[in-house]
Order: sequence, then structure tokens, then C-alpha cells
Amino acid sequence: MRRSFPSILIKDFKLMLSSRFLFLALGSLILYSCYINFIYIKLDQDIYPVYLYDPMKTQIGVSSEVIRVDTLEDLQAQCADGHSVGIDVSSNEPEVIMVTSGITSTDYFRAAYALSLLSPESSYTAELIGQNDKEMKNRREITSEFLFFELAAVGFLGLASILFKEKQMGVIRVHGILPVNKSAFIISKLCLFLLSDLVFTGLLTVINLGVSAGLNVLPAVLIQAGILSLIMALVGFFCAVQLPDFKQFSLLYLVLAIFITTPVFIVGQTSIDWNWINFHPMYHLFMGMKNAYFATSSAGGSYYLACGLAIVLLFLLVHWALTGEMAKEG
Amino acid sequence: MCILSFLLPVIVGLAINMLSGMSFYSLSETSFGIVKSDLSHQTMAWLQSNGRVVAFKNVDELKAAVLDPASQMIGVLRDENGIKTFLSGDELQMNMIIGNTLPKLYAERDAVAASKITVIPTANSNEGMKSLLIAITIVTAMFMGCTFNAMSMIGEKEDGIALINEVLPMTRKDFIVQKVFLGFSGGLLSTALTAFACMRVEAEHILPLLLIIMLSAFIAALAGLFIGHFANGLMGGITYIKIVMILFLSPPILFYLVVPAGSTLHLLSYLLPSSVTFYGLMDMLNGQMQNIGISIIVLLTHCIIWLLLFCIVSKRGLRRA
Amino acid sequence: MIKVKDLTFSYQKNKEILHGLTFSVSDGEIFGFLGPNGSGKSTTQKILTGILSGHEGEVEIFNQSATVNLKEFKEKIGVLFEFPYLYSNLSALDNLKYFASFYPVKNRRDIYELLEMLDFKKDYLKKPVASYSKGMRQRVSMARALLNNPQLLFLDEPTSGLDPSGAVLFRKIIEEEKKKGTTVFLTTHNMVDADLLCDRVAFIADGEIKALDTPKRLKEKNSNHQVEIDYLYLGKHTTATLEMTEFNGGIPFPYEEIISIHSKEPTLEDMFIHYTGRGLT
Repeated sequence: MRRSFPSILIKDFKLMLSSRFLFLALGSLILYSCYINFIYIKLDQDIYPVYLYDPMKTQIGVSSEVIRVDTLEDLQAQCADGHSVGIDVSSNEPEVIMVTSGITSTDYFRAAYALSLLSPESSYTAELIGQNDKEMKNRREITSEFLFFELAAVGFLGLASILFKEKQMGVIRVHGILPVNKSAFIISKLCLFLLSDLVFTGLLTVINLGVSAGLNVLPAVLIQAGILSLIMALVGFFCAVQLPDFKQFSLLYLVLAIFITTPVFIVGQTSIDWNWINFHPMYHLFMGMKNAYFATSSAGGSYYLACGLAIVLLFLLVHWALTGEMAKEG
Repeated sequence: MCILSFLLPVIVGLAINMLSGMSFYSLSETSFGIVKSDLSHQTMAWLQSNGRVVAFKNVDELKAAVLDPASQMIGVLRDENGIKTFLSGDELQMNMIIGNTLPKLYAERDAVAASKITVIPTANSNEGMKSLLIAITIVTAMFMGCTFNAMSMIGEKEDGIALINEVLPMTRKDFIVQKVFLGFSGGLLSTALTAFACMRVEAEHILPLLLIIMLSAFIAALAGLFIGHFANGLMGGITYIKIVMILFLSPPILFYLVVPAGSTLHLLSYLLPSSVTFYGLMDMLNGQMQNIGISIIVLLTHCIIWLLLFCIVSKRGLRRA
Repeated sequence: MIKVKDLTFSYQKNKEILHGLTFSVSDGEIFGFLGPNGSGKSTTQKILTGILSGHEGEVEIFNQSATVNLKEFKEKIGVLFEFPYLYSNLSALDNLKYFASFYPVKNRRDIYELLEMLDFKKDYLKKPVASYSKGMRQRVSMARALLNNPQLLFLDEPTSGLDPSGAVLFRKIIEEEKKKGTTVFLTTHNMVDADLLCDRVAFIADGEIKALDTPKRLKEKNSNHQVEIDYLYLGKHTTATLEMTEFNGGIPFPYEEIISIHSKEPTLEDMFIHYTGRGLT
């Protein structure tokens, strides 16, 4: 194995280059980084706009956030979106006018908030207990999401495309009569894809979190990326060996990319609570990745044990599948 | 595998339909975290009238929930003057302001209760998040047709069947019709079933909905042909599919949420066919039918232009070969 | 070299592919294995090369079971598959260097010498295999099979895709391998190859060996012992068919000029049909 392993590595690297996998990874890195830096970090939601109809100018000392309108029709037009709130003080009693948001508590709050702007502002500010501001939180959040998606979907795809090429060329069958360890054939590909995924992870993290914050979380992130990369590469290997052609495989990839990762993102990134998500293996992998990015407490020994077992079992499955593939007819 | 990927959007549509509306409401409702037995009943009741309240065993658990990046929870504790709040510092601007103004609102609660508040109901209940998910699922269903066509053409190139196609007695028109047909019909069927599974459509809106779906499925199938034409191999094809998928699915959501209607950017977004589809579907889901005609005409224009473009491009490809 | 006794194999339950094959191949022999698609030819070869396991019966190669010391076994064999399986993104040189890296250095042959022997065009040495013709790919595949100076060579349709001069060259190489003491296990549909090269041939059909002997003896056993003579007499071109016994005493009819004399022997294909009841395709 010692003399042949470097040859297998070089051969697989040349296959990676010719399949433009690295080009795809680079393109993804640029696309994701542009999206994060130019669009995502700027996303925000402003508080409800408050419009005031005060023809008699009775309200003095209102907050600077309040927007005065000249007519009642203007007020009604501005409040028609279900988000803005209008106050009509043309009569003795201020009247709050708004279109429902669909949620009673939100409507109540909107009214209370609008009325509070008629009195002088308070100097009170809530205590801040976290380390991140909104921008850094957005950066960590979306980077973890993109990295997870990239490793889960594209890592799965990258190795499989190379294997499909080798299937098509028929050279897997040739390895069946060579004095080569099948494990070497598998491990070589895993090593290359792991390396490329780790490099991608490092670059994505440092580019989008900044050098200091990026390097701070990088060790933990690389561990999670390594686990995910190995698992998805092995799954991709197995599917590539078992499925008859790349068309079938690419449809499976689409299914995985969109429909299996989506529930994970919905639960992981919002406050939706679905108990069944704990049985979804990708959820734990995603949360491991996300916690690494936020430098929060990492998963316990049982998580790593489960990951290790999964990798070993998948490896054995792939080994079995490869033996069968080598014996197939031309 | 083909059938599975076409059926999946339908399954998701059914799942969205069956999910309780509460799951979606909870996303947009303001969330307050408190410690059990810390606040009085009246204070808790007041908080519940302003949002969703979650009670924790102790302050540490409450702080952990507030610090959770996935939540926008505002921590509320008893204070000598009423209540005090704390935030993690990474919340949206809206929640930061809510956190900062909450003690003042609590102090003024009696005045608010005494005020006149007129809440105007809307014609349809605003299930914003659910509508968004439905529209995304339907647009994704259309995209299946694109992927299938692209993979079919790339597969033919890889197997050498593309060469055989060039010597068969088949006109260009037959070739395009044949290529578009399967992806279009699969995408159309998948989208129609998905829409049926999760949308409540009135009888007079069925025809416009069907037109939007048909035109969009056709454009998606054409996009697949473009990818299949330009991609040299499997990985190249996957790259293009990925780019088209991101362009197809993400910008429409962004434009819809962020760009104000009537602005120049909103007008420019009509250049992207999936944006037009998205706007049309969202308008339908929100019961706003006034712009449906425009959406249909724009989609029809896209169909004609992209089809003509494909005819020109594929002819040029033949000449070079 | 090879001893097979009562070899039985099934891919699935109740679907036996090989029904108790028994044959042996001596050291330095060129042994032909002829059979149509689905006869069990490829399955037998896969079992012999160690790709397929789970068979019943005895298989001994190099005086031991094929499954013992698989790595050592593979270092001693060379296999030419029916199709030229090569990395299309790599050149002939890179492909051969890659495959050579798996064998002990002392066993490896010089790649350039091998390709020259196979009459491979020098200007294609560094070009990717994707740009090669079928014949060129076949030459590189043959070079791969001979890289490690194998003691036992498995050849599946070696002259497939070659022009007549290429086929002649390959036959010459196979005969030279035999002179070096290499044992050759040849699977083919090509009767010319089997007839010219093989010391013995086995006909396999429906998972059974229907006949096994030298090509010459197989033809002799089934010959009708007739001779066909083309001759000119009184300006007319005539053909006569005689029994061998009639011919032994000389030509028993008048003639002006003998144009040709052919013995009417059956071909190997005729023999195959005779023993198996069907053709090779």
C-alpha cells in the first residue's frame, strides 16, 4: 500500500482537476462571500413606522421617530400595509388606527408603542449580555449555514462525480485485478476531499468573519467540517457506486440539497420548535457546526462517538459496495 | 428517482398545509422570556397581551435562551420600578427598540388600556410566513423540470447519443419540442399538484394560476435546455444548475421582502422570470389580483424571448460543430 | 498452472451459472475458452482472476487456492479486459506509470519498450487517452496487462478493434509470451485467433464445457475426410470433390491443369455449432 497510495492520490487529484471540482468550490466561495458581505449582513427589520395626524398641532415634545401627515386620508393610506401605525389626534382623544398584522398581541404592542412616542423618550436601554452585535451574529449564522450546505450537498456531489467518471471509464474494474488494497482506493479520495473541504472551510470562515474572529473559532469549525465532510463523502461514494448513472444521482442530490437540509435550517435558524427534529441526523451535525461558529459549548462525547461509529459503518458499507462494483460486467 | 424528485414538492406542499398556523405565527410574534415566579400575575398577563411568553426555571436558563442566535427573545425581569429587560445585542433593530421601550410601555400600560384603538381587519388572514413557504415550494417544484432537462441533455452528450441525434431525420423544431416536453410536463404536473395540495384558490382564480404555472414551467424547462447546451460535462452542468438554482430561488424572495413595490429595482426584478412567478403567486395567496395580468404578460414575453434565444444559440452551436 | 474441478457458481439462488466445470491448463500453454455471451465465460474468468468469490468446487492457480494471498497472486497475473479501460484524462504514459506503481519494481517492464513493441505512435505518448482511436487504446491496455511480466495472462478478445496488421502483431506478441513460459488463458469469439494461437480450446455453453481438445484434433474428429479440387479440362473450369481414400492413389480423372486443392475440413465455428448446438454470437 505504501508504494501505491501516493500514485492513487496523484491520480485522484488529477481527476479532481479535470472535473473542475476545485473551480466549482472557488466559484461557490466567491458567490457566498459576496452574498454575505453585500446583502445578508445588511438585512434588518425596522420598528413599526408611526404616523401622526395633528392638524391643531396639539402634540408637542413627540418623539423624532413620529412622521407627521397633513390629512386623514394620508394617514389612512400610510397605515394600510399592516405594519405602520397611525395616530389621529384631531379630536380630544388620541385614536390609534392600524390594519391588523394578523396577530392580536402584535397589534396591541404596535398601539402601545405608537402611543408611547407621544410622550418624551426614555433614556432607558436594555442590558446587553452577548458578545456579538447583529452584523457579527449574521455573519456567523449565514457562514455556518452556507458551509453546512456546501459540505452536505456539494461534498456529496464532488466525490460522486469523480467516481461516476471512473465507473464510466471502466477503470474500477481494472483495480479489481491489481494488487491494491480497496481501502487505499477509498481512503485516497476521502483524504483529498477532506483536505479540499478543510481549505474551503478555512477560507470561508476567515473571509466572512474576519481574521481575528475567524481564527478564534477555526479549530472547532474545522473539526465539525471534517466530520461532515467524511460522512457526506462516504454517503456520496456509496450512492455513486450503487446508482446506475449520474442523472439519477443528480436528482438525489437535488432532493438532499433542498428538501432534507431545509427542515434543519428552519429549526436551526428560527424559533420554530419541532420535537421530531432530534431524530434527524443532519440537525445534530448542523447544530455542531453552528455552535462551533458561535463558540458556544460543544457537543458531548456521545455526539463524537455517534459520528465516529457512523463513519466506520459507512466505510464498511462503501468497501462492500466497491467489491461488488469491481465484479460487475463491462 | 425521477418520480421521487418530482413528487417531493407535492409532499412538502401537503406538509405545509397540515402544519398548524401557530408554528408560523410564533415566528413573527415578539417573544419574551421570564423566570418562573419572578413576575406578578398581572405583569405576566400584560406581557402575554404583547407577545409570546416563555418561562424558564432560573436566570441562567433565561440568559442562555436570550443568547441563542436563533431566537429574538427579550429577557424580562422584575425591577424595583416595574420591569427591566436584557438582550443579547444581536437582535434585529425592531427587537432592540422593543427591548429598550418595554419598561416605558409597562409604566404607561393603564393609559394605553384606556385609549381608543381601531384595528382594521384585512380581507384575508395574513399568514405571511406560510404564504412565503408555499410560494417557495411551488417555485422549487418548477425548478425540477429545469434540472431534469439539463441532466438529460448532459447525459446524452456523455453517452455519445448527442452525436446520433445530429444524424437522425429530425427537424430543429421537433428536437426542441421533444427536449422541452418531458421537463415541462414533469415540472407542470409537480407544480400543479403542489399548488393544489397547499393553496386555497377560488374558482375564478384557477385559470390565472394555471397560466402562471404553465408559463413558468416552460421557462424552467428552457433553462434546463440552455444548461444542457452549454455544459461540457457533468461537473460543468452541476455548476450551472447550482448557479441557476440560486438565481432562480433566492432573489425573488429577497426582492419580495426587501424591495418596495413601484421602485426602479422592483421594476428591474421583472427581468428575472422566477421573480415574476413569485410575485404572481404571492399576490394570489394574499388575495391581491390586480397585478396578475401583468405577471402573466411578462411571463409570456419571457417565454417567447428565451425560446427565440435558444433557437439562435442552438443553431450557432450546430454551425460550429 | 490452473486446475479447476467441479466449479459451480450462482449469482442468485436457484440460478446456477456454472455447472461443475472441470479443466486444467498446463504451464506455458495457450488455452482458449470459447463460448457465446451468457455462457459463463466471463464468470469463469472473474473467478480465476480473483474478482469474484463465493464459488463451489476447487480452483487452484500456482498450486494454491486463488483466494489465498490474493495480493501475491495479483502480482503474478496480467489481465486484458474486453474493453480498453483507461483513465481518459491521462496520457498513455501516465496511465501505465500509474498501474505500474502497484507492482514490485523488480517485476516491472520498461513502459517505453512495451509501447514500442506494440507499435504505439510516439507522438501520442503524452496526449490524453480520450483522443486515441480504438486500436491505440487496445495497445495501451495490452501494455498494461504485460507491465508486470506476468506468469499467467488472461486475455479477453485481444485483437478486438485492431486492423489486420495490428492483429498479426498481437498474435506475434502472444506467441512470444508463450515462448517465455507465460501461460495464456484466452477468451475470444475470433476463430482465427483461437485456431492460430491456442494449444487447446474448450467450448463452453450454458455453464458447461461441451468439448475440450486441440483445434487440430477437434477438426480431425469431425472431418468428413474429403478433398476439393479445382481444375481445367477441355478449356472448362470444373470442381470435383473426392474422398481422401480416392485421392491417395493420385487424381483419378483427366485434367489439363490443377488450379487448387483444398481439404474440406470443418472450421472451429462449425465445431462449436456441432458441440453446442448454436453459434458463438
